[in-house]
Amino acid sequence: MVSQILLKPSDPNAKLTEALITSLRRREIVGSRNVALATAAVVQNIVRSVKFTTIEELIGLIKGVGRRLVDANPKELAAGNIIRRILRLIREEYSAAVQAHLSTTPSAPGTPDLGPETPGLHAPQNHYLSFMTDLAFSTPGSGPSSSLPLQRQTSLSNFVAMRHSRAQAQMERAGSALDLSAATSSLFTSPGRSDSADGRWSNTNLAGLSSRRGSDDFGKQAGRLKPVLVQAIDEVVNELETTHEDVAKGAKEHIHSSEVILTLGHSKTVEAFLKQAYRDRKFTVIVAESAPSYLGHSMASSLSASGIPVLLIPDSAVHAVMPRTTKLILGAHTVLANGGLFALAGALAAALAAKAHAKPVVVTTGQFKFAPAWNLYHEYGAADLQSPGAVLGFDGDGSVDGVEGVVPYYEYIRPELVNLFVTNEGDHSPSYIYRIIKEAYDDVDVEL
Amino acid sequence: MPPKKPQPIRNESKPKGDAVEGPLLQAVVLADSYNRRFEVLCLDQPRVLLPLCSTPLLSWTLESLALSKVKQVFIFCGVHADKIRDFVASSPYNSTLDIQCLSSKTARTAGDALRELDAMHVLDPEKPFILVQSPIISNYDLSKIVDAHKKRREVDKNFIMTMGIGRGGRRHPESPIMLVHPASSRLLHYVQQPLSPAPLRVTFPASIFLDPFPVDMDSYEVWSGPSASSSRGGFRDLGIDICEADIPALCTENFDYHDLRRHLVNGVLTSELLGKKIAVHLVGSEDDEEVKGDHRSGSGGKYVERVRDTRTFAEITRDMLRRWAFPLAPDLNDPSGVQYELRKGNVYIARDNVVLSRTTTLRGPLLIGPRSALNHNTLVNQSTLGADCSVGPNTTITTSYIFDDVRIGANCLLEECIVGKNVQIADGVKIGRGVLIGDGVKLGKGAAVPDFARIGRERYRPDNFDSDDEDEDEDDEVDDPRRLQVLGPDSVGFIWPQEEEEPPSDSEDEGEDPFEHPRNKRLLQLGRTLSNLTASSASLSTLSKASSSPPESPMSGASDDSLPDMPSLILDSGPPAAFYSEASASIARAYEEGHSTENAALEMKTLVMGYNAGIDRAREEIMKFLLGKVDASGKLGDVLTSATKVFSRWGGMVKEFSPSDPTNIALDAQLFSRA
Repeated sequence: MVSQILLKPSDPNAKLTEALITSLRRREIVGSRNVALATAAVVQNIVRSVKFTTIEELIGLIKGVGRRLVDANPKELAAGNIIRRILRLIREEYSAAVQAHLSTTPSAPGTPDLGPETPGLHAPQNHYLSFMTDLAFSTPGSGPSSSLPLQRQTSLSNFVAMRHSRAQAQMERAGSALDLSAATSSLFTSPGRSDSADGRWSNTNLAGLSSRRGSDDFGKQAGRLKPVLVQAIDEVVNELETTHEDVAKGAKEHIHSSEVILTLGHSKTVEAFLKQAYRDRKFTVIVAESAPSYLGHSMASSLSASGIPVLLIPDSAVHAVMPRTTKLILGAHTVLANGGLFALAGALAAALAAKAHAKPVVVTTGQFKFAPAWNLYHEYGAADLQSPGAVLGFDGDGSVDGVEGVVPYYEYIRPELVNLFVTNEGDHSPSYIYRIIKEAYDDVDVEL
Repeated sequence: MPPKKPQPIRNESKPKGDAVEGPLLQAVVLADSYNRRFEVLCLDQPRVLLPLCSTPLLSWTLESLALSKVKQVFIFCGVHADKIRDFVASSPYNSTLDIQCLSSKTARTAGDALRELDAMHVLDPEKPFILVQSPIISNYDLSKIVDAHKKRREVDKNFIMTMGIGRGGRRHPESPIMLVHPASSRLLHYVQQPLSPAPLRVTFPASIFLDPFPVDMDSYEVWSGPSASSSRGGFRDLGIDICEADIPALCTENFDYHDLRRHLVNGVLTSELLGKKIAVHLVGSEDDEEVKGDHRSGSGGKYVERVRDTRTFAEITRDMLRRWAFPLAPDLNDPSGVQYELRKGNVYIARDNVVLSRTTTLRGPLLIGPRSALNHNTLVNQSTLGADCSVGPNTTITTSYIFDDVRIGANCLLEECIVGKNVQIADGVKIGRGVLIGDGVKLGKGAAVPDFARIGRERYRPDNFDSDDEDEDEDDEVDDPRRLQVLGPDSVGFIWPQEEEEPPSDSEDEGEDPFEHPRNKRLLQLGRTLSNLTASSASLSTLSKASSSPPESPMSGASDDSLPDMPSLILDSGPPAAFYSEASASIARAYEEGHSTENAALEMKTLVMGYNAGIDRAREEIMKFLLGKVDASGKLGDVLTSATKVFSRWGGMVKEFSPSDPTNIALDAQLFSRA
């Protein structure tokens, strides 16, 4: 997959990309979710308008964009995550189309008139991987089946041939999979319905396609896949947009009545989570103010606006109030593959205090923050050191030169300090994160 | 995730004239400094392309402007315009900003530049533009000043300019004193206040307070620079102005406007005919109404600084490395695309084949550019090294700023200096504080460069240097004894005269720029400490006190001494010079013609009445004259007899003029003897 087409400078997409890169670089777009949404929007635009003949070209192009986005702000790993996710979807749609094409040769792909034919010839090759992905779905404790991600409705109805092939593949897989999730089995029973929930998990490796020769001429027409690809990215965007609600869905399972919850900063996920839980349970929230950003202030006022009793405390009191709390809920900036995470500065102190007092630490996060990165915490700069102006004040007295200010924005929290990750796709323990990451992205994309 | 090499994918050019949504914010960057502070380093390149943290100042400036939502930038180039053009053409900003280089060889001052700008008709006459006088490093959204400026103009159309003012910061030899009405943020008066020789009094024109008397005078504030004695930060002029189209037009009308502050601002403020007003905008003052969502920028930490001289160059480099200008920091946002790794203690090492010996000691904040190599036992302390530098064994580099491609030999000692591009320093060279070494200089083995020396590849040219007679003095430079003595025979380079030795520039206006006073100019140099100044300024200021304007009373003198860097605010600037000449003439006549003391005193009193001068001034004048008549050449006894003779004859006159307190006479005598 060496072929790379570059965006022409005159292309409006080049400008969009450049704008996103500069605003990432200048920290005009910050926060995992904002970055992820902006990235998805740019990639969608590129897919929509760029002319490509083979799928490798498109993938190469998106990879190139992704690489530059990651370089622009290496601390916002969400950009890379979204790129990897989209790449995965593209490959998958493509391979599904190839399967359809192969199974229906010689008719052109995309002709929606073909009935289900025997797709058996391709199924075994992704057998092994599909087994694993099914496992991901049936993770114990994963939410109700309605919360399963990426309900792929429209994309498949546009592309009937593919749907058929995919449904057949599903059937094949179902026979051998150890454990079938509810959604998969429902799909199995009604293959005519178009909500196959798992399209993106059919982990077909392009390179591994046994029927290379057949896909060659098909590959020339990869441009026709465009509407499907655009829709696939749409789903990513939708998923991002509903992340908070999806994470919050299981909130009442995690919070009991009259609990005292400690949190810090202003994580939108935590905020939605607590608000959702408060519909069913009555509890108190203690918010650490999280100097020097003082995000805790806005968190406290937002929670109290929806009726939740809130205590706002200075960061120094976190250890002191810990015996009185029952749980520490944190938001994450990035979850690393080892189950550790980067969170707002102050979170490490809180997590250590929770450990000392044997309080459970729950991290609420969307899965788009799961990054296939391991060694980031070895880097000093990963803490995203800010200007000392927030703590020292350039406009105060003239003691600028005497004092060295170190103001990290993030802190790395070791996996052993975390008890549970509550995500939009079920709850996981830190030791399981690597598995989810492995399944969510293609291995070839780990290095963009 | 290990960050990767920067991608060389850059868009080559950008079609001009495509519609940009939103109001088009324009900025004008004056690329030329119109002074000679960086000259020795600027032989091959303009000041704006000097690297700060290995990135040209222009890049940081453009980055700062882009951060402020500026869409169109006009770079007004003087010398080396082609270099700036090349740089802009190859810079990535070309694709995100609309950059136009305007060049002019004839502009010699900032006023000239604005005049030519006006003649070029490139600016939108309807909208204000941001005028950046020197390279800026800022993480502040300057468009907020523009918005505030527009809001002010909605109320009062006469505001034609808004000056950006910052709080706090360091002391700087160039800081103004401003009289401001904070409620309307109107600037009433602007005086330049050099740190040395410190002026003792500030004169505010009476017209501010009269005609009609301002009812809100109590709310007027005097803003002055940060001082060592007060713990609260002062105010500093950021050198960033939001100008309406009137400003260049005004420069065109008044061809004698050269300095924007001294001439233009004062011209606008004092001109009653014009009726225009200038506003000041305190950076960060609008934060109260700001939405809370923008949390990443924090409440404080707005950093706006400009590179004016080698002193600020060093200060800003250190600030940059200490991340004051976040998100403008080498490891996150390096505009030139070099990736740096941030290590503990604000140590930035390029991720590009930097070779550090195991015995290298690094003390941050420091930055080491790509492909640089440090040999064993090197010590680098709070310095920046550019790309492709090499440092020999046992060399110590302390608070120095070294540009690209510099070879430093073994056993060298570099202390607080700036070393230009392609400089070669042989073994055992010692470079003292404040030294500037221009591009391409070679220092031979064992050379010891004295403090504050400037060494250029070519010889120093005074302001009125004519390039025609260049070849004549080509040969006599070889046997310059001082050069040989200091630099040794292997060196290639010329020692430039010290800044204070430089002949004063031949500006034709009588109001010489106080900042260009040699004594103040020294303080602009790298390596000069201002903290020493407070100690020494007591003596300096008393000297200047006696010579220029003696204090009115012991009280004001005492208050001056307690606040050496804050001049007393005496609104009365004293009688006109004519009084002094008439008074001295009158006394001289009385002395020579032998008038009686009563008559002489009467004549003097008439003069005092006529000029509304006050008897203190008259007494000073008399004392000055009488003491001048005392013959102070002989022995102590002779001096005493001569003094007794003079004062027995004329002493009554002095008494007439000190009705209340005879100690005043003693004070005057003291002042005279000091002078």
